[in-house]
Amino acid sequence: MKKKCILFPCDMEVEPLVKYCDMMKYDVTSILSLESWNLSEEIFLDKTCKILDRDNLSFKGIDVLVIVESNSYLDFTAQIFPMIEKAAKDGVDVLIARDISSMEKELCQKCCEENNVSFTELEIKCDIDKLEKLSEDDKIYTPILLVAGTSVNTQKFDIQLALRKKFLEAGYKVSQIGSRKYCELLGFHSFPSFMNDSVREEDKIILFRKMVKLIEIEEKPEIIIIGTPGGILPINDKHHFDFGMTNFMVSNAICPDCVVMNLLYNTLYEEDDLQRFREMCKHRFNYEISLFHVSNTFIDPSSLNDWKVKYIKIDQKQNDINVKNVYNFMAEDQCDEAFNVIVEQLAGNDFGQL
Amino acid sequence: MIIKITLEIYEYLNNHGSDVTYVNELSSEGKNFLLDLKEQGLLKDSKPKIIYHPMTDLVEDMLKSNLSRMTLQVTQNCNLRCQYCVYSGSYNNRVHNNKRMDIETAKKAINFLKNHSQSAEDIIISFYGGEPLLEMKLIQECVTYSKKVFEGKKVSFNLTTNAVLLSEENIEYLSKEDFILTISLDGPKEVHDKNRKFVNSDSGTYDIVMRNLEKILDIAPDYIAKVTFNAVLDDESSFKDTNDFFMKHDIVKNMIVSANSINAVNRKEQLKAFSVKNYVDRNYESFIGMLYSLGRVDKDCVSHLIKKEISDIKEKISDRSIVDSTIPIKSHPGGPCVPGFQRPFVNAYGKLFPCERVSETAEYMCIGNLDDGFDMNRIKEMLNIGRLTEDNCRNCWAYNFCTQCVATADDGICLSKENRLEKCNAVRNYVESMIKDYIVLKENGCQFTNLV
Repeated sequence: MKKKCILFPCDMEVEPLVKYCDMMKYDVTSILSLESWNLSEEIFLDKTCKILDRDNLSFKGIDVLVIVESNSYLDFTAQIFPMIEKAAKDGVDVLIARDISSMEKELCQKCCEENNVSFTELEIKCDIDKLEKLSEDDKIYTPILLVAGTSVNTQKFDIQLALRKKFLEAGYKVSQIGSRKYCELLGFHSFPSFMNDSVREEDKIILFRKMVKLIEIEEKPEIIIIGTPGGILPINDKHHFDFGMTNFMVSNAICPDCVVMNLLYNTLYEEDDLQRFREMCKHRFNYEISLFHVSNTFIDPSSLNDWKVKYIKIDQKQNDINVKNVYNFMAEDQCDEAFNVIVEQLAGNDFGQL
Repeated sequence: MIIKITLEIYEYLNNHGSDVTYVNELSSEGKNFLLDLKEQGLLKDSKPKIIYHPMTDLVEDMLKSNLSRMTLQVTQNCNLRCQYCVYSGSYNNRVHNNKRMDIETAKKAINFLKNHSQSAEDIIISFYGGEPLLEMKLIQECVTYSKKVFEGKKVSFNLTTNAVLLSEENIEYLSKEDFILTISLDGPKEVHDKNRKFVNSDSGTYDIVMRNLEKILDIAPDYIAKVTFNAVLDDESSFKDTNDFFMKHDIVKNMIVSANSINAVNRKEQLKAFSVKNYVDRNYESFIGMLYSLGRVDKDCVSHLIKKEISDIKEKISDRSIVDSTIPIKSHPGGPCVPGFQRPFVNAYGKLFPCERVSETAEYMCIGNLDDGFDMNRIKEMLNIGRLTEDNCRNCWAYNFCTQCVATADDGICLSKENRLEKCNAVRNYVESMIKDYIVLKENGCQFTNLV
């Protein structure tokens, strides 16, 4: 039986996690948010969990408080620690699944020890020593499905989870590297932190390839889903993010068999626009885009010259773009259709090579 | 796209437009050049067929959860009676009166923002008047309440003031809460005091404003970095004296100044003819700005009052995005923001307006209220203000560069086609002058990268 947990602090960042909480190793009974974040219970869909108010919080029947990543501005000592303290005093274990400093960790540990509850940090498995022992030119034979986006905020993580669910439901053995941190909560690998370290790009590429190979060896999957964080190209000279470097490194490390490209919202996409993306990816990343997903976010054009670009999130729209291979993965019927196309394509790539 | 052409090509295009039937009239070099332009699609007729703002269908979504700022009119009263103020009685707008926003309305406004800002990471709340410092207690209550309501988001505060009521206590508070402070200051004493006068008095406020600036430097010297000036340029005063003041005065010379002319929109009487001397002096400063752009003079020589001209050339012409050579079939001229999204303004009665610059007395400028929410039909009408002048806009070469929004169409009675068209020449002249300046700078090696 799964342990019952509460997630905190939950802003919109937590939406995909809640939507696919069935895949977590905990039973999410409720989430704890702040009033200003305006989380709507709509995010739970048909789930039974609910949003809790800090003032009337009860940990009755709860086994674990899971401290998750959030996008918003929070002071650990003033806003997060009091919840940890309350949980510990109520005999609830604490699991940390967000970045905290060593001082904050010490504070939590001490509090949990004093109250005889367990304090755990989510285990991020990435054994560099093991990776070093693998050969650079070991080939990967398992089909790879890559999920990338033209920009940040294009629902990449949602799509990765939707596809994971579809493959698992269809009985496939799935291994996965997600585009976010703390994917271990959902039972797969987070995007490795070494990809952000100050080491040579070629070393990162080789390590990433070895990581995928090791997953193939140890987990023996039938499909590997990889999500790449960030976007494939800069927005403009001012907002260039990493110029698509992470995507470039991933595309050099692995050779995807199928690629889902997530786009910012626009109703005016035409075949020519998508062809431009296809050609760019072919020449820059050496892969072919198989399907597109149109997300629910676009850039506020008036913010393009500001120091921080502003993204506008809208309700998910029906896919009214009449161009082949464009899907709305958030709609169940279209996600099924897209899944079938992906499976068909991956099956078509299988020539029974030994 | 801006392309350099010869006199021969200019004359051909002037006579025949994009018709290449007469191309043999040109020299072989000219003929090849013209055919090249055609092949690259640069002679295409790129007029929009339908004027329809691309954001129209997304307005409901945008306003539902993406607001990030709101301006609160905490009072309609003011301790000054500036001659050119839009609330002075010289404009089709409300006049100064004793109406103040009560705390219930202010909280309702903050809650309204909270309920429409789920996707926003940063929140900005601005306080406006009248003179907002007349309601310091209310502002403090709003700040405390906002911090509570927006816990977990970064909230910052702005205040626009005439600076007369900047007491030590107020400065300490504004500094502690890290307010961005915009102070109205028009220039040296004779310039400032000409227009900025106390109620029922002929005395100006310059001495008090400067004393209060010194007070800021005494009490919270670091806070001065958060203070900027808003200067209204009156053509009846000397531009040169104003410029010298902002360039040389010990206290203000290193601070940011935003300069605006006296507002002509909704003014009951026309402004007087401009001063030739000011025109010459201003253009001289623009010329210095051009020299700076070309690396010939130091940045310190550039007048604060013309910096916007330089940044406009960079942002609007040099950094323009060239997405396609044609205008989409359905589009809207440049100018309007999405009303209620960029700068929502709530007045003391709880009525919503697109920004603080539009007339509060005109019912057609109101985009809703705190109880009933946004009036989406009105917002869509404002967003598509170009439909008023559809035929003219469609044939205007400055279509993408237009700066006119709903405010400039207001004639005090309704949104007027004539009022909008009246301003077209001024907009086109400004755009043309920016393009010309850009070409001159470009041809003389300006890099546009590190300009002010």
